[in-house]
Amino acid sequence: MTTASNDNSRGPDCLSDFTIDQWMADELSPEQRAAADAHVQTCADCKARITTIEAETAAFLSQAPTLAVHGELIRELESARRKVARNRALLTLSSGIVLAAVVSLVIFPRPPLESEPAGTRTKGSAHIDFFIKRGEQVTPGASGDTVHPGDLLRFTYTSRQNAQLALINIDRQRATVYYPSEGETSAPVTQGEKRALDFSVELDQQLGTERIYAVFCREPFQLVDVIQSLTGPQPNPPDDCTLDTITLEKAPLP
Amino acid sequence: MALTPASVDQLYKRYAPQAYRRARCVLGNDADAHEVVQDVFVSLLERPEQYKGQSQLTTFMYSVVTHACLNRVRNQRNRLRLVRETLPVLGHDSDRTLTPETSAVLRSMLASMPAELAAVAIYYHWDGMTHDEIARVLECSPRHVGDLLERLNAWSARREKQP
Repeated sequence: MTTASNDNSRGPDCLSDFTIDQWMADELSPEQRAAADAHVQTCADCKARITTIEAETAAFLSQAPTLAVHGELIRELESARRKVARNRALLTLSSGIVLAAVVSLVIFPRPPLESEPAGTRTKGSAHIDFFIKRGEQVTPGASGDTVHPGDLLRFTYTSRQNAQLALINIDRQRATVYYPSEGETSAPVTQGEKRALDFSVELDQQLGTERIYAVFCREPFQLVDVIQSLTGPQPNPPDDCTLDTITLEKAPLP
Repeated sequence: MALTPASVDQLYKRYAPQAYRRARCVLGNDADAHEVVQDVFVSLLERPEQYKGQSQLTTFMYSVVTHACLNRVRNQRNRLRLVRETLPVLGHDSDRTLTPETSAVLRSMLASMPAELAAVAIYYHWDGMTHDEIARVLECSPRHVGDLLERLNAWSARREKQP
């Protein structure tokens, strides 16, 4: 997950980002460093700002650890420059289920999908991974994790071939399209490993089990059709598509 | 310390995150910020002699990234729409805290601002740098930085009066 912040609301004696950057790069003179250390010891704002910058640095390097990987990342961002808005127009199915059009599904075509327990995937098949940002901490997530309202999720996908993708979150009350961010059909993605999807999602207050389905298909598909197939008693994606599922338990913050 | 293509890749780990952070704030979106970072480091790979060792690397990177962002702003085909509220009067007497709306207005003004003033606007308002720090990056005196901020103030005040 790449995030960046700017904060100039600190006091007049506080360290600028420039000084913090020099401090982190070990470029301050001994006297400057001693003065900066002494100030940070007593300044909660500067401590918080340093923590933020360190977290953002870690998040950036987790996605683009080398210049070569960074080049791949920006190529993906060029083809996916949208961000998911938190509130989207609702899609109403004929069955009466109201769906939030925020979730996108990515579906890959492959031999007929075997029924898989939620939260599992076949080794080597197309799949998604994600990061959780909670406060200033950024950590890789995994199916089965406990998350909290207000957590930010950021996703990557891995696929051995070009495909059409959508990500859909289904909880007890509704289905929400995470990706693509707009429209009613799937979005194209190119083959690659751990390619970042250019959006982040802030988890709402609804507690309980949530399932995020990533549907990968060879051909474009209608989101409504796939959502309908996933909201039955047993998720049943279209033929020639791959389904990856992440199960999360959303609980209040301790 | 002279840069080599091998050392540039190592420098990426230390300086790319800060470059991205600043570019993201100035340009307002991830994709453009990532492209600026890529452009800056690929340029360093191709011409490592750009860095002559006359300043510290953070100082050098601040200058290079600022210019890359300004070039991008000026080359953008689709300009940000101005927020049609009271334009902020910029300069060292104004509140330096940037709201999203103020950032958007400032960003849209960068393209038409004289280059010298645009760089100072970024260092002062987005980076929150002191006059001394800005002077170090611009390789001028703190007094000259003060003069530039006064000119920035006057420029934005004139713009505010324009219909």
